[in-house]
Amino acid sequence: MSHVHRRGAVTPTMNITPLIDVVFLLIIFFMIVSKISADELPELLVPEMDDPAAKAPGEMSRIVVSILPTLPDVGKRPEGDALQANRTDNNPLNIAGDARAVQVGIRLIPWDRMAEELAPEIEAQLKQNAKLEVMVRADAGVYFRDVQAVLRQVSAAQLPDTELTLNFVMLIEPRL
Amino acid sequence: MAEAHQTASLELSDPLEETVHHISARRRRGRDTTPPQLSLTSMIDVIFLLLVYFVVTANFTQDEGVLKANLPGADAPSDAPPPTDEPLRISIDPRGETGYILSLQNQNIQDFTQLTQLLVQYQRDDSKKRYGMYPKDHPVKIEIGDEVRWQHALAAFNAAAKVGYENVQMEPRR
Repeated sequence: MSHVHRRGAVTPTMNITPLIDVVFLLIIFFMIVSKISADELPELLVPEMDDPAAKAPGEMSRIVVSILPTLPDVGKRPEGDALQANRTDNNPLNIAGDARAVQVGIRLIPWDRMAEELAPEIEAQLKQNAKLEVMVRADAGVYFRDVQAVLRQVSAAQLPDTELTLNFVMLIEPRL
Repeated sequence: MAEAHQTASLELSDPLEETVHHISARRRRGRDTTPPQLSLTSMIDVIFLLLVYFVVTANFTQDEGVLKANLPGADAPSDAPPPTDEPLRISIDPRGETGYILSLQNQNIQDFTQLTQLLVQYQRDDSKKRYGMYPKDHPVKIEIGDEVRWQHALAAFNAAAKVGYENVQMEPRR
């Protein structure tokens, strides 16, 4: 480097300000979107397996049927820890095993109306989309009887010329 | 650098300046121009923001996966297995508040790890060097008591699916 160059040099800087602007906007966008999509799924402790055979969900259009457990009221959308702490001895199964409600998409159906309203709800979705994946996402502590009742409603929603596939939701990675 | 050394060596001829020549050379260079520096502050800003973003999103993504199953009664008429095939029978009953009693072919077994081991032993799959009695498509019937927790019901289904049985049914225990 010559003397002339060194003397007259203006330190070259990149203007990063617009980059920061854009990054900031992206962050805000993704935070809002992820919050919305998390709101659609009620907090549950889905079953956890030692050796799960489950795979990441595919890209098909799907409908998530969550089966909510009866828990002491902890307010709206408790965090994962609170959900766990609500159970006796921190045992995820130690709750009253009767289901409290079913949530389809963003619609919450109380358990006593499940038998009338669940199948029509799925049928309505099936009319818009003939190929549909139903993901049954039940809390680990719910009785099998109640899950079975939901499964029966799901199969009742099957219409001719439609393809309804069933999937059970479980954890792939162990819970921390 | 070479030039700097040269100046220094030229000045070295002056005995008065000898003791401080290295300092003066550096100072002269510093006086000319400030050394070009990349401002790291904004980069750190961006990296920090990215870090915060990933920490926040990591909280939201639950690692939930799906296990495919067939709808009960959905395609039963078309490809129901011949009823002569006696299914491999797993049954689960509730024990206490949250426990379970597990049995395979009416023999009590301890837990789902043992169930998986037995299911592997019973299976016939030449490609995996398993020489049991039951081929992959042999029906497996899981009979589940009403008050068995979903965790245990799904664990049995998961074990059968993991071992490779393709025709697994869950039904209420009578």
